[in-house]
Amino acid sequence: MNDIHTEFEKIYRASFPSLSKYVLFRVAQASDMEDLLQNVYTDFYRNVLMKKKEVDDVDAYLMQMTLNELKKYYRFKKKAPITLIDEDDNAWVQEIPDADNPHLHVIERSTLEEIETALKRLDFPQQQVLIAKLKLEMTFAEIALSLRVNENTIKARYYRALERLQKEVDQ
Amino acid sequence: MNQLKKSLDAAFLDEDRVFAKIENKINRRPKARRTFSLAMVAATVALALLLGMARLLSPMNVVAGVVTVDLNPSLRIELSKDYTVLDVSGVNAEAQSMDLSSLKGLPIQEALMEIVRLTIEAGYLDPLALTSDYILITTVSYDGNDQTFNLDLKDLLEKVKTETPSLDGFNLAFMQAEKQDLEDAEDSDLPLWLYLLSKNNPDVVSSPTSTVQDYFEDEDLKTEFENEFGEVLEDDHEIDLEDLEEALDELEEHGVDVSEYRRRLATSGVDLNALKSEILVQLDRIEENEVDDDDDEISQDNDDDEEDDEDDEEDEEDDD
Repeated sequence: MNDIHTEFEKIYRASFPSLSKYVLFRVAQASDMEDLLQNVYTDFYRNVLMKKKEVDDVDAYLMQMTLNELKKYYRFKKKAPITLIDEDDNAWVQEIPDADNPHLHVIERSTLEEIETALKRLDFPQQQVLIAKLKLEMTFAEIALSLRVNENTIKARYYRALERLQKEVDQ
Repeated sequence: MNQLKKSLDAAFLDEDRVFAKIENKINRRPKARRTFSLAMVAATVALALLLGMARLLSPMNVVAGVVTVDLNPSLRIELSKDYTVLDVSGVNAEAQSMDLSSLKGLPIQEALMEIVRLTIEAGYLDPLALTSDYILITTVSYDGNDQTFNLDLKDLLEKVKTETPSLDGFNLAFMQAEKQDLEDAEDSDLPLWLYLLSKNNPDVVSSPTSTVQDYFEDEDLKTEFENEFGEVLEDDHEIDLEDLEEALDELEEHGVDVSEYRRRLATSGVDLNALKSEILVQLDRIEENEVDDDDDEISQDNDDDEEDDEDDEEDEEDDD
């Protein structure tokens, strides 16, 4: 039992970042990401490790389980409306280093609690780009590729997310 | 930047928090075993026997009617008076290939959602909300004089469609039948719906393997159904971005270049209905190609069989 648990934690720690990245771009709201991953790992523990099922490629197996869970999710989860952010003309977007971003300076002066509350008030596409850029340390180009949108669109979304976050923490 | 990163870590996808939740879930076990005295065991057995007998005598354990669900697979479900699934069986090969045991004991509304999930998982239906598939539900009350069974059952199942998103992308069709029809259909080895619809018009069904989807895709037959047999509750959920993205993923899996569609989808103010029509054309093309491929395979198999027959004949002649 303990061996299984140790093995499970090892697999979990190794695969969590890549599965998180995969799920992040395929759900309709932030709270669904964790629920979905919990289901995948719990099923893996119960159906693979507990039953001592032979799996050649654990990463590929987990990815397939995630895909199946997403299929169920698309069909049965209540769909949250996706907010379209006005991103008509993003050709103007210039990359601003984070160190020079005035919104970030204001945000950084707030408490963790204030920022966390403000983060939860953002639209999911804005949360998504902040998680991808700052938590998963993806580049704008990588995020754009994952969401299959223009890189300038992602940059604009990121800067608008910071601007909105600053407004939220100011309130 | 530290503050924002820390807050993001705490708010979303926190590895340790998710792990703790998973541990909590997998460690949820039955309560620890206790030792029982002989008297306690005897009392428990007696109670179980009493409860078992009460359950057997209860009308809730008696089959009050049957509902058949046809979405290719075709299923026959026996229901209690309170619309709980007492027994379920597959009527065609597709349904017989599925594990339906999880449906027993479910209220019929949940059973219907589970059937759709199992059917999608088994690959008999596409999970896209963009394409409209049909589910034909036929209700049979065992008490021919009691129409409330059929009517209440229809209401319950309509609510699944109108009040949950789980049947987005599906049209529900309803009809009623008599217990005698059910027995006759079984005698003729046909699913109930096929038996009923071909009873007055044998041309309706070209083959015993005809599907509900084939039937309702024919506009004349659909009109005939609505005029003579039952009612169709059309799917009216509004297509959203997520539905279109799902469909684009499907197209992409079939090798279609969808970058232009994705670009348009990411543009604010895009006409979703226009985009939907274009994507549906692409999905139809894929379906047509798949049907053609299947036909080619069947024809190839037939050719092979004919060649084998010819070879056999030649061999026989040689032997002579």
